Amino acid sequence: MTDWFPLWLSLRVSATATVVAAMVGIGLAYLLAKGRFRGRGLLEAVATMPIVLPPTVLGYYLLTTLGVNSPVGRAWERLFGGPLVFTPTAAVVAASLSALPFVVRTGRAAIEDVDPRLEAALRVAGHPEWRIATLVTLPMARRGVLAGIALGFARALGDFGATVMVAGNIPGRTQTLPIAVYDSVQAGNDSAARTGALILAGIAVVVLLTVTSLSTRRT
Amino acid sequence: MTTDRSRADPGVTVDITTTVGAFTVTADFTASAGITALFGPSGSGKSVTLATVAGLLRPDRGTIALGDSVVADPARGVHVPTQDRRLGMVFQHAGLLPHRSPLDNVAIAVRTGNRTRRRELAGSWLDRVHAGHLATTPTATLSGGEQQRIALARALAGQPRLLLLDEPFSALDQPTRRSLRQLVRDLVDAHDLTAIVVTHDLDDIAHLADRVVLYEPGSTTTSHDLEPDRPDELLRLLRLIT
Amino acid sequence: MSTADAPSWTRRAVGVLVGAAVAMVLVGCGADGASPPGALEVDRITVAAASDLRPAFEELGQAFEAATGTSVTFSFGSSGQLREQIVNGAPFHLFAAANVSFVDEVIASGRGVATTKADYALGRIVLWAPSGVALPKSIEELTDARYRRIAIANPDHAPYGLAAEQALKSAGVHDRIRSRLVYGENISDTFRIVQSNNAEIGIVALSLAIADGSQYTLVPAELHEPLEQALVVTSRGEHGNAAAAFARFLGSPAGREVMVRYGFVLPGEALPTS
Repeated sequence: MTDWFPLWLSLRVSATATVVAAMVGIGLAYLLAKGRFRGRGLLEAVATMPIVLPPTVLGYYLLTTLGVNSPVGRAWERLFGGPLVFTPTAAVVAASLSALPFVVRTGRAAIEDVDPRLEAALRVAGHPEWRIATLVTLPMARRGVLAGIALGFARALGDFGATVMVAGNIPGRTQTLPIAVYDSVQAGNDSAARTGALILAGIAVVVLLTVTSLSTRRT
Repeated sequence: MTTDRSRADPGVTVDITTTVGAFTVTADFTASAGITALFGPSGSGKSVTLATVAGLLRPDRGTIALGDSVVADPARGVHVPTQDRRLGMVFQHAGLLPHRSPLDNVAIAVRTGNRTRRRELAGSWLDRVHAGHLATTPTATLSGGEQQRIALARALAGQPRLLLLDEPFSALDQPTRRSLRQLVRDLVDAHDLTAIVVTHDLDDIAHLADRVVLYEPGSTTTSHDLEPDRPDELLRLLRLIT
Repeated sequence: MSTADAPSWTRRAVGVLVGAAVAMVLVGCGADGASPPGALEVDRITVAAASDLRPAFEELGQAFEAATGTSVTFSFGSSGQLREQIVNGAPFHLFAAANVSFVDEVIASGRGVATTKADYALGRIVLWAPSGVALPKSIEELTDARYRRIAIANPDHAPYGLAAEQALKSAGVHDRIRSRLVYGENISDTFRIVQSNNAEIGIVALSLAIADGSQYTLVPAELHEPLEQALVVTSRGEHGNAAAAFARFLGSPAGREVMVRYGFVLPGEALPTS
């Protein structure tokens, strides 16, 4: 019998992570595209870092900052009665950070591509900046933003290194599909590894097709 | 439609220097009711001046006053945001939102009233630019001239103190240009508007402008009132810029 | 062409947000503790176990569930990695390592119940290759050029890798074959490297070779420090009791039968001559 828990957990974790990364990422993308402030370059570098950092390094930092011996980890434990690390929530944190750069970078490029005259026309018409963002900028940039979110979802679904370090490999609790594939290989369970790998590859193909169609159909 | 005469002619006083990158332009003129044309070759800084009046750019020095209110004066730290200057603006390309209907595009610019009222006013402005029949046509399918009519309606729907037109006809063919030029002239006269139009087309000077501000690269602008009964004035202007 | 008019864009955005909220609620429910405080009976415990134990413990877990009704979930890895996770708060109820020192470190960090520490087995290492590859009769034969890549577990955090390295040094061949060594993450990773022919031969746990049912050459136990495997209960309360029950089960006649079958030497038994 195939154990569907890892797939189900992976979908829940990456869906939540995608929502988190989208909310934070769209805000950051807008700020980076429009804002002129000190530390903007640094902010962009930090938001992009998970793309270039080895996932294990990201996992190490997360374990250090959120672990039971850290101030954040201790505060979490006091608030919720249990450690944050090695829970599905920790997997969500790792996946969100992995997905974030894709939303920020793709979203930022899409926002910068919006014709500034459209925004200027609304500014002249008296609309405050947040109205311009929701009336013009984000609707016009929506394909790029959605493509970034789709890529972020794929990245969140596929994360192994950071997740295994901060959430562990606990079957039935934190064992996501990529980790289950690794574990199946270790156990010599080739058919389970094959099934998991096929599912992950299939989802990746669907996401990439979605991204392609989003970037080719222009308004 | 009733026109609020008190805001119809605030007059605009401009004395500014604006720098964009390595490019600096100094403009010094006054525009009262009617149509003032900023005229000169491409790259002489007309559009930069217009964007500065709109508040989309900040001047390095000088002042901009709409009637009695100073909207820009860097020396005293005054910079009224574009949103609060109560302007209407039309660009060379209409800049309509492609995902909104023409009616919505105009309604967005109406500053008062609830949703229904804004759409009513937008409809009446579409009628006034002779585009009432286009209210629900998909925006992206409109011709250039149709889009400019709607952009004009959008600029006027906010009841602006000042109408800014940045090369509004230059992307259009000659017959369309002529009819739109007439439309602008009629609307300015009908509503006692103050308008500034940026152009490098002598036909605009001949058929649209009440006064012209000449732009020559490297020097401050000069203003000239145009007297319709003295066609030699146009020839003098031509010689000045060639 | 223009695809979306305003209302449908809005509707879609609302749809996405509602979907997101539902997803968050689902994960929120899933994220609640697997060990609800105040539960009176324990129907599941989670055990962190060194990977040499995988075949034996999977069998023991099923036997334990049949006997007690409590199921056992295993997280296998190298002992060093598992120690790291436990010290950082991983919610395991029992830690079965492949050595003693990692267990001591878990106790020192305050995450292990010191009184429950116990030796439960002595491990053995073997030279192993998939059938079809000529198996050396002794560790010295590894210098033969036909063994182009030799897999061992990472000695930094895998006790079986450390034992393999010690054996190579004791036999005096380590320096000569060092450049041919490839390192597995843990002992079952090492086994897979050899099984998939990515190395001609490996030094792996006896238990894994037995589970595979293939040929092997036992490495003399005196060539390395004894692979004393210790365990410690890493939780308290009901789950701690259940974990201690599983540890006792290892030493029961049924448990010993399974462990011996996979080649482990149990406390109180003499080391068989190799």
